[in-house]
Amino acid sequence: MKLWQKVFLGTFLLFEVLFNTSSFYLIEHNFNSNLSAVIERGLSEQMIIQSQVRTDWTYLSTLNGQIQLTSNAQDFLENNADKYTRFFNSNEVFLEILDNHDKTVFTSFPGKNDKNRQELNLSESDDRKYIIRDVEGRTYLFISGNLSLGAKAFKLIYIRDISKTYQDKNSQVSLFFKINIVITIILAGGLYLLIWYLTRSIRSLNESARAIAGGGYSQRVPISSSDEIGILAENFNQMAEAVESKVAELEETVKSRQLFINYLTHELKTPLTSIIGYADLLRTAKYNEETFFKALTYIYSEGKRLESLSFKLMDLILIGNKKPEMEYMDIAVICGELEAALKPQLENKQITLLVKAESYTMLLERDLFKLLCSNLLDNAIKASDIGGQIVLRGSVIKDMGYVLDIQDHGVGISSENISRIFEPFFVVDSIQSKANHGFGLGLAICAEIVRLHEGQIDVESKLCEGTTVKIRFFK
Amino acid sequence: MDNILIIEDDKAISDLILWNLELAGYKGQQAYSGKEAQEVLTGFNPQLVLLDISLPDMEGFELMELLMEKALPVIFLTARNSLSDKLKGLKMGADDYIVKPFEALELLARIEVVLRRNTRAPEVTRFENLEINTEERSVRKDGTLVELTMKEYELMLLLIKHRNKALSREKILELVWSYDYLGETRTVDIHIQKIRKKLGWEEQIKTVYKYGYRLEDKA
Repeated sequence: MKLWQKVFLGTFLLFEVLFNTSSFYLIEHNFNSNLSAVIERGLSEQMIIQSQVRTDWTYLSTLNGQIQLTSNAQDFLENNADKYTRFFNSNEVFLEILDNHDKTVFTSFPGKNDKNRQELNLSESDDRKYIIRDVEGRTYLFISGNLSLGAKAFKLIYIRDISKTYQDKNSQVSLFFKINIVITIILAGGLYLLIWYLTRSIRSLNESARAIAGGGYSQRVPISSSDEIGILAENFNQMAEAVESKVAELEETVKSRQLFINYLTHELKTPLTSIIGYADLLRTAKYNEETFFKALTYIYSEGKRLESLSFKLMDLILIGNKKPEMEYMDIAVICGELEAALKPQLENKQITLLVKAESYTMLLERDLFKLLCSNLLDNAIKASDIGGQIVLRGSVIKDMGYVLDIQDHGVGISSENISRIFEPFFVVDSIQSKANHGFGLGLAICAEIVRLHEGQIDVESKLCEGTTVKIRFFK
Repeated sequence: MDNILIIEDDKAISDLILWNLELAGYKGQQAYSGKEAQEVLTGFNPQLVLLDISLPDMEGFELMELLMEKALPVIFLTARNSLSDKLKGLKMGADDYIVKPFEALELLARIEVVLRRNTRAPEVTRFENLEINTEERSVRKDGTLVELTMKEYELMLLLIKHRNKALSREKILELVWSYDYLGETRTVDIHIQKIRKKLGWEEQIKTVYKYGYRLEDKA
């Protein structure tokens, strides 16, 4: 069962139970108090009639003694009883007088009484009894009391039609049922709309969650309230945001990995094609010294190329996985060593290398740091024309760290290529790079080394004006 | 002889292809970049172009359009073997697609298929003093008819097609006696002996030690 249905049913049933019980209790209570008021009234009216009869008889007896009227109590009652009811509504109140043998002396009651009249079993002289009984479809209150007139004993029975009290109760109940039906309909409709309205955020949350689970990571929940569900929706959106960016990141990683593999297979297949092809040629073709030598030369140089590729790859993988042993070293000293190592290459193209490095001691891995600088300088030399100049500048930035600049005035890199130069196997000039046995791994290795030293590497370049590589090491 | 343009930026591979083509009796022309290929194409029309997809100055696909204009049959030559590249190449109208690393024999076989499809093969083929009429399935040596069995004839054609290259006994069995032939390599030796005798090729068919045979031309 859905939540809104549960809330709806729960509220609805609870209300119905409480409303019905309290209403019935009220009706019942009202009826009981009405009934007891009627009974009280009946009792006092019976008392009044009874005492009135007795007073009249006493008065009559006194007169009787003076003027010698021959009359007995039974005659008196038979002749005068109807006068006692004239103050009452003749349709509601009736009087019945019985003698001591329960023989009717007087009655104004239109109905027929049955035999079993418990109210007549009166014991003591001032005892009174009442009973409520249905006679001929109507409900009556019977109140009986002893009435002694002189030596004779009678019973005076006051009868009141109380059907109206019962009718009142019944009409209240039927009115209540009508009200209940109307209230139930209004309540059901109102509750349905209210709960449906209040749970709409949960439903949209649900839909979004399903959409996200199905791969629609850009799905968001419209936030329409500031209550708990609104906050949940907001948190949910934040979660979706995090998932989306994570997924995008993963896709990017997969893509660049695929690209890496594509380039790698290309770089592997090219020399392998030559090696296999020439070996096959040597195996099958007619012997010819020139062919033989040329083929072997190709096999050798392509083998060397594979070797250099495998070393570069190993570097890249090792740097990526290695936690290097760092030690405190002076950058200026290492830069000085570099100059000596690159001398043959520099002389070859008559390039001057200016090293202006300020002394600065920081935590670094000596060999990797040298590999980083020599890779960058190597690139600078390849980019430079004969007789060019390369500047290696190192400056301490107070409280910040150290910046290493390598600047050349060579061919430069176009702006669309700059963003890709750190990608493995990306080469700006593939003819040049093939001639130099380059694979486009050098800068990828540099980026890894800089990452390992928690630094930052940036390249600024303009075509035909030169390139500046800036490496920042933070303190 | 058919002239083939090799557009391949890797010199080692380009030379390798050229060599194999020359050994098989084709003439080759090399171009190392898209630009160079365009320059070469203004001068002459090759019968077939072998085209590398990743060239230093452009994608082989770009050059493809120019080649299509000239209605030249093209075989792509590439290290990429993704299906999308293959489909792209073939949809653009390439005749075939060879993935590196390839074997020389496969390369030559595919070149032959494409050439045969694009040009009507002549009915008469000559090899030195032999005149082979493929329609009649007859072989004349210096004008006189030589009687060859079916397998001898096919073996002779195979050797001529792959002249100057050694063919292993297994390869010969596979190509002449079909793939599922379960015979012995001895069969090949017997047929080679017969051809040598019938065509006077005692000197020209060389035995390659522990491998197979090679037909050498006199040049």
